[in-house]
Order: sequence, then structure tokens, then C-alpha cells
Amino acid sequence: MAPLVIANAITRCFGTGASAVDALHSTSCSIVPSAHIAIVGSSGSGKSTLLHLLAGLDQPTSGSIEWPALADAPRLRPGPIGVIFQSPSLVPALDVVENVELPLLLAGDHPSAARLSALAALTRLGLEALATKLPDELSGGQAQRVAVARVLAGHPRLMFADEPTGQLDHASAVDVIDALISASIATNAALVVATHDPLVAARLQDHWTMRDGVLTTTGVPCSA
Amino acid sequence: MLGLTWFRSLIARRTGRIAAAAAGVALAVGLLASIGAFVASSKATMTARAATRAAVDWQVAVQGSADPTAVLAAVQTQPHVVAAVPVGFARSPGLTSTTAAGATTTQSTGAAVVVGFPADYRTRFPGSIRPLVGSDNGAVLAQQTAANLHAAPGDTVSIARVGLPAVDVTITGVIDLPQADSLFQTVGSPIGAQPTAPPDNIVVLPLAQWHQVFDPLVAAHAELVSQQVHARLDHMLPGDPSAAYTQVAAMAHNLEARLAGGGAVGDNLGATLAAARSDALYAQILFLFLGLPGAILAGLLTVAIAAAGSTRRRQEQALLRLRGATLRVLVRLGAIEGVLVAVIGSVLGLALGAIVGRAVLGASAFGNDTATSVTWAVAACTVGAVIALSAVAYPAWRDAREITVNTSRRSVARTPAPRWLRWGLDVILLAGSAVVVWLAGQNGYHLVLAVEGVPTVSVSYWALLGPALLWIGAGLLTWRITHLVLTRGRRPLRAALRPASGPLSDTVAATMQRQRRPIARAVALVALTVGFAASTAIFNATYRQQARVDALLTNGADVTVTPAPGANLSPGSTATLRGLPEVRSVETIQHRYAYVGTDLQDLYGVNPATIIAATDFQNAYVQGGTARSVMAELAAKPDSILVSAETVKDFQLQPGDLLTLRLQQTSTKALVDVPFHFAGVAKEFPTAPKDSFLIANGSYVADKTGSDAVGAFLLNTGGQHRTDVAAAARNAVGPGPAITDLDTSRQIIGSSLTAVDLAGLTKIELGFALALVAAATGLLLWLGLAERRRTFAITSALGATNRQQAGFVWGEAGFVAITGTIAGAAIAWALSHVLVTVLTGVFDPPPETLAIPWGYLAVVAASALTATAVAAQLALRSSRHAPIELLRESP
Repeated sequence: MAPLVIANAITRCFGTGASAVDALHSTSCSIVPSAHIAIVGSSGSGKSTLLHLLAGLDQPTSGSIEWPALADAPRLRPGPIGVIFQSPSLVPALDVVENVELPLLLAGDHPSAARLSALAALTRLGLEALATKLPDELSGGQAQRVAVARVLAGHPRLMFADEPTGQLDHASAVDVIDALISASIATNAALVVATHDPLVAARLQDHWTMRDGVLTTTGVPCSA
Repeated sequence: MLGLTWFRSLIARRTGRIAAAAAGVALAVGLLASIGAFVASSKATMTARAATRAAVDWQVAVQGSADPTAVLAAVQTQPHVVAAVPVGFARSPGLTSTTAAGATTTQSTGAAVVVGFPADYRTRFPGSIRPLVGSDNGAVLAQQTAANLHAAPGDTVSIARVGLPAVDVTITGVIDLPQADSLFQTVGSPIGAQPTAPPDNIVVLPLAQWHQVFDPLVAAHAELVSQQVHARLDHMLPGDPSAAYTQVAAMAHNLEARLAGGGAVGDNLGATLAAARSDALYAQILFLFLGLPGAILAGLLTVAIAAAGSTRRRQEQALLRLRGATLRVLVRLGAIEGVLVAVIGSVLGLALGAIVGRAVLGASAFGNDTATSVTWAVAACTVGAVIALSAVAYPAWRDAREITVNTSRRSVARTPAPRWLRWGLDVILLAGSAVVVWLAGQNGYHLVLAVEGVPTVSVSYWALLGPALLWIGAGLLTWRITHLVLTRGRRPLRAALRPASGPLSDTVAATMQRQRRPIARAVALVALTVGFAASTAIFNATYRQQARVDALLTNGADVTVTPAPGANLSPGSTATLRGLPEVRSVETIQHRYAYVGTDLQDLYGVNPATIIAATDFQNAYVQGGTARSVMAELAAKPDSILVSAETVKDFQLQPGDLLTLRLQQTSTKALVDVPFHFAGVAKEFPTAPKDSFLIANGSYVADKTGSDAVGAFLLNTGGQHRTDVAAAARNAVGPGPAITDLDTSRQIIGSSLTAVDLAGLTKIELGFALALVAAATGLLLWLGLAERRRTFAITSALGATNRQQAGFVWGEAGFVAITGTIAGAAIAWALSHVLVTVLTGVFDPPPETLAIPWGYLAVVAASALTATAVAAQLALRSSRHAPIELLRESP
């Protein structure tokens, strides 16, 4: 089975000259379908940088990234890759259902089809009662679960979550991680979560560790 | 310490926010300072123009048995008097002339006034005498007197004296006395007791000759002889017409006190300054009408600009409160930002005002003296400080007191409609405006009331409420309608957004619906700004149009050639004048004097088919029809005649009545009866006097009088090259005819307000209006969109293409710009009409239609669209580069 993503000796340097910072040193890794991976490490270790590169949100300074199993998709986002961010990432001026259907509309879905998919995703996560709420009317946990629903509605094959529970209390964090795992199982998608919370990491099968921009593997499949 | 840190971080990290708010304050300060410069400068110009308008500043009438020599000496030694000469007046029962042109004829007149001027009178009092024919060094006749007597230079005129034999004098020339009204005033009499018109018959003699003729009359009939001292002052006057009037009036009173009953002062200079006082008040009101809204707009813009960053400011405040900042600390930090904005804005605004003042008025000071300059600068900076503190510090104080940490971290919330909207304040204001305008449209309303002889001038300021309420009410109504459309009209909004946002139109409509409050505010501001810019431009253009109409009414055309009395320029001269470069057409009108009963009136013979186009003949000049319909009636019946309203009233004329006039036969010089039929009422006619005149078919008049001699040639130059054409006409027709051009007439005849022209105010206001339009559309939009960088970062992370991002930006930008501009156009239309109604007193004559300056309006629209496009493009560029790191930060 072809890997969903393959990174070859990728680096990421922010800034230039004396102020340049190497956030990620030469790193190679791959993610297979249905993998559940936790990228752990302390703050500033390069977890988010690696995750953004693998999600196609950022470009590596050197090296290359390929998405062999996703080559048939017209584009990665919106489409086979879904991302959940650390801070609330819902559009404040759209209500919950409009936020969830937004990636589908960006992908060119018909509005009525997008609405049905969005409602289905919300229902699957038990959030249908929040459909007409504005993001500012939600709790942090609810907002992150809506963000999960937004990813879920797009039927992704690869889900990335960047510190999804970083700003939540424990109970809310459990709810969000439950939602993420159930969504990934429901869609048979791979799930990669960057976290510094060992309890969150413990819920995932594979663990990668980042330290000072270097990826060290504690599980498979990963090579540094 | 915290304050200093906050101050530094504001400068280093909130540069855009501070700069944008300071720009708004700078616009308000700059506009006020510039207008201050304009008001001060225009008042000084009005005073200077008014001072030059009086040919003789003081006419001191020697009273009773006072010694004229002593009075002359007293006047000469009065401070500020630079010239003083004696002048004699005597009343004669009549004049008789014997002319030898063709057959010898004798003509007589009724009562006449004989004036004695010293030899150098015309040199000392320029503008008092205009020589027309011959020399003015001997006995000369006034223009109309020469016509009455059929006299020309070389003829002999006999001056009758009561109780003494008549005296013969040889006429050396014919003159015009442009200021005959004031020359023949009854010095010391109240306004109601002044003669309604100067004497019909006037002879001017050299003073020595006058003494020879009339000194013998003094012993028997002293009441028929009087003497005056005419004086010219140095015109070292304060810039403000009111202050100048007060000073001159006080000097006149001082002289009267010194003369101790020996003389009464006819204060012509004071009278012209008194008239200028009301013009100065009009200028001040124009500032209020046209300038203050601009300053208010700049203030509103600043508030809106500051409000565009309110979400971020509230979030910063929430962060500070979470870390233990007290209300006092929060207010202090808000005040620091407010003061920073006020200082930067005031400094920039004063610099802007100085630059504008130098560019437009040629002076960078804000007044004619240091005190005025400082007053205007301080006033402008105070307004700037109030705006800055209201826009920045007050919201910080309000939020700190009223908003919880949780709500202050929200960027979009379901908020109820503003209270004013629920109370219907917009409708109340518009209704109030309608009532005020209706009252102002009633008869008897005068915005400025300047009673002659009364030192104070009053202004009906209540009428200012008309346009003010309309402007505010219309702005709020725009807000209401936009709010309503965004709340209820999702479907039409979606359809309207489809061209810009495509399949995402419903999503864009949803975001706009949730942002309806800031969007409605932005639309209302754009509408108010466009309305201000357009209505100011329309008002100013209408004012210029009417000033031209006023000048045309007096001068007749771009250039007018008026043959001297007795001299005959045949209609053949038309070809000569038409052949001059830049002359597009030449219209001739005949000018005769006709007796209506015993009343001598000016009769104008015209070509009804061409006169309307040639003289810009307005509908307002006639009664009971349009200019075209009345002239058509004149053309249809050769013997029809238009009569002035006063004559209709005096002679109780009804349409179709036979009106027999006595006109002079050219060949015999005898008066003959010519029948006319009353066809309509003329209120004004170019070159005609205001009170009573007649208009008839030129061909009919020529037929009945045996002469088609032209009274005036009206040259149309298309509004260009008037001075050049006037000079060329002078060369073509020689020195005899009087040649006047419109530009010179405008300077001479217009009120001092017209003469000052609104050019300076127009340039200042229109320039600032453009800046305000650009700020309201571009800056506000850009700031609003820039505040939503996080939203763009989210949509970008979700995979939105550049085109889809553009759909969000252009949808909102287009809605604000287009809706605001349409509403602004509607406001401008209504406001222009209201301004013209309330400021009717400024216009003479009142305008028939508004003048629309399409060029400037196109520039306004282009500025709004360009600023919108630039702002949208900048926001789009920013959204494309919205860093993904934004999504790792707390909002």
C-alpha cells in the first residue's frame, strides 16, 4: 500500500542571515494509511513545523515531500488532507454549520450537498444542537470539536491536529481526542497529532519524538 | 513604567492603527485650520474691496451758516483723511439747449442740479466720473441729460436760476456719474427720506465757474444752494468688515463732534462696509454649511477607524484584565493612546493646513494676524484632541467599565440593533429637517439680516438646522436601510454578490450579515462623505453659475460694446465685431428712452428669436411663463411689449392693453406716439435698470423711430478670452464706445461675497472632500479587512484559492463602495436642494436649476472606486500572505 506522505531530508529555516533559525533539521519520514501517530516533544521542538510541512501548509527550505497515495486528488486542501489547529480556527462571522460546510464549498461542492454533509458530520459528533451557534458562543472544547467535524465533513484520508487540546481543560481535551479518533476510524483516515500532553499521546498507537528540530523515532514506521 | 512600556509598544507594534487614527484627526485639524485661513483671508478681501467701492468715502455737508472753509480745514486735519475738496450743489428750475444739428431746435428739461467740482476732482476721486464724450475740463452734462437736451460738446446750454437771469454755458463733454445715488444723497437724512433716484438732469461745472453762477443766488435763495466737503481716507482698516465698519463709523462720529454742528457726515465708506458685514457673515455661514460637515466627517471617520481596531483593542484589554490590570490602569492606557493620536494628528493637521493655505491662498498662517492665527490653530487642535479622545480613549474607558473579559474577547457577537435605530431617530431628524426647510422657504425669511445704520447684523441660525438634520438623518437612514438589507435580504444580497463571489456568494453574504453593524456604519460613512463632497461641489458650481448670471445681467454678455450717447454705431459694425478673433456671435439690442405718461423709461428693442441664447435670458427674468414662451409671444405680434412689474402696477395694465409710448423720431428729434400692446411682464433684462424698463421688438421700434441705431453690441466669446476680445473691440471701434467685459463687471458690480468668489473655499473643501472620500472607502475598508487577517488565515489554511479569497474581499468592498456611493448621490441631491433653499440670500438671482459639476463628481467617484480597489487589493495581498502562525496564537 502506497504511503500517504513521504518526506525526504526536509529542512525548514525561518529568517535569514544572523537571525535565521533552523526549526527543522534534515528529516525523513512517511505515513501509511490508517496510521495513528502522536508527535510529541516540548514547546519549540519543531512538532508544529513538521506537521505543517506534512500537511502542505508550508514549504520546506530543502528536501522534498510527496503524497503518493493522494496523487489522484486535484488538490490536498480542501480534499484528502484535513487540519485542526491549536487555537480556535472557526470563521467568527459564520455559524457552526456554515463553518463546517466551508471547506466543501471551497472544494466546489454544491451548496445543498455541502450543507447535508456538514449536518451529517455534526450529527456524527453529537454537535447538531450547536449548528446555528456562532463560534464566539461556543466553549473552547465545543469549538475544537466543531473543527474536527469540519475536517470529518470533507472525508479526509489524512488528518493532522496541531496541539488540538493545548488550550482546553482535561475533560474537554478527552472529548476532542475522542472525537478525533472516532472521526479517523469512521473515515479510515490516518491521524497525526502534535502534542506535548502524554495523556493525549497515550491514546495514539505510534509516537514520534521531536527534540530541537530533530525527529527521533520511538515507533514505526518512521526513519530519521 | 507600564505607561511608558505601553507607549513604546504602541509606536513599535501598533503603528498602522495609530497612524490611521492620527490621519483622521489630521484631516479634521487641517480642514478647520485651512478654513480658518480662508475665512480670515476672505474677510480681509471683502473689506479691501468694499473700501475701493466707494468713490468718495465721506460727503460732509456744510450745515446752516457754518463756514465751508472751516469745515474743509477740519476735515483735512482729521486723522486718516488723505484728500478733502469742496464741492458745490445748486438746484435749477430747468435747462434749455439750442442745437444746430440740421435744423436749429430748442429742448428744455425740468428741474436740474448743477454741481461744482474742483479741477482735480476726478484725479482725487477715481471712479466718481467717467468721461464719455469730449473733455471734462469745462461744463459737462450727465449722459441722460445730454440725451434729453439732444446736446453734444460745443452746444450751449442755458441754466435757469430762481430770481436771477439764466446763465449760458458751453458744453465741453458728456460724462457718466457711476455713483450718482450716493453723490446726490441727502446727507444726514434717514434712509426712508433719501431720494429714490438721482436727478434726471445734471450739469457739472468747474468749481470756480459754479461759484460765479450760484454765489449770487445764496443771498436770496440759500435753500437752493449747498456745499459739501468730499474726503478720501487712507483705508488702513481692520481685516474684518464689522471691525472696519465700527472704526470708520466711529471716525465719522468723531468728525461730526469736532464740527460741532457745522457739518453732517455722509459716510459712504461706512455704508459699503456695512454691506460687506453681511457678506462676511454669509461667508462665515458658508463655512458652517460647507466646512463644518467636513470636520465632523473627519471626526466620524476617526471614530470609525479606531472602531475598526476595537476587537483587537478589547482583546488586549481582556488580556491585561486577566493579568490583574485595574479599571484605572486600563483607562490610563487608553488615554495614552488617545493623547498620542491627538498630538500626532494635530501636528500633521496644522502642517497640512499650512501647506493647503500656502497652495490655495498664498499664506501659510491661519489668519491675518498672530492672534487670529493662534486662535484658529488652538481651536483646530482642540477639536482634534476631542476627536482623538472620543475615538480612542472613551471606548477604552467604556469597554473597561461595561464589558466582561469573556465578551471583550469576542469578535462577532449577536448584538441588538442600536438604540437610535429602534427609536427611529433618523425619521425624526428627517421630519425635523423638512419642517425647517419648509419654514425657510416661506416669504419673509432672511438668513442674514443687516439693517442699514444698525451696528449689529443678525443671522437666523435656526435655518442651519435644515441641512444639518437632513445630513445626519440621511446618514442614519442609510445605516438603517443597509442594516435591514443585511439582516433580512440575504437572498438578494447573495444574488448581488454572485458576480464577485461566485459559488461562495451565500457564505460571503453570511459573513456580511454577521458583520452588518460595522458594514452598515462603513456604508453610512461613505454615503455621508460622498454626499458632502458632491453637495459641496454642486453648491459651489451653482454659486459660480449664478455669479456669472448676475454679471451677465449687468453686463449683458461676455463683452459688451455700448456706443456713446449721440454717437451712432450702425448695425453694420456687427460684422466688424463678429470678425474679431474668439468672437462666436454678436447680438445687437436697441436702447431708447420712452415716455410712459410722464415717466421716462428705458426701452430695449430686441430680436426675440435670438436674444435668449445671446444673453443667457433666464426663465426667472419673466413672469407668467418661460423666457421662451414670452419671447415667442413678443415675436408673434410686432407691436407687443414686455413691461416691468413696477410699471404694470403703476399703470394698472392688463394683458392686451394698448400702451402708447412717446418715442423720439430720429430725423425730426420730435416725440411721436407709438402704439404697443402689453404682452407680458419682465422682471429683469440684461443691461437694464432694476426698477422700470420696457422690452419691444427691435424691428418695430426701428420702423417707428426711423433708426436702427444700436444701443449695445453683445459679444459671445464662449466664456473665454474676454479681456483679449474687449481690447480687440476697443481697437476696432475706437475710443468712443464703452467696452465692458464680464470679468471686470463681476469685480465691480457683484457683492463683496461674489467678488471674493468661493474659489479658495471650493479648492480647500473639494480637496479635503476627496481625501475624506478616499479615507472613508479605502482606509476604513482596509483597516476593517486587515482586522480580519485571522479569518483569511483560516480560509487559506482550509485551502481557499486566491480567487476564492478575492471573492470574500471584493464582495464586501464592492457592496460598501457601491451602496455607499448610491446613497451618497441621493443625499447630495437632497442636500444641494436644501442648501440652495436655505442659502437663497447668497444667490442673486436665485438659480433655476442646480449646476452639476460632472467633472469633479467623476473624480469623486473615481477616487472612491480607486481607494476601494487599492484597499481591497492590499487586503487581498495581506490575506494571501496571512501567516499560518496566526492560527497558533490565541485570538
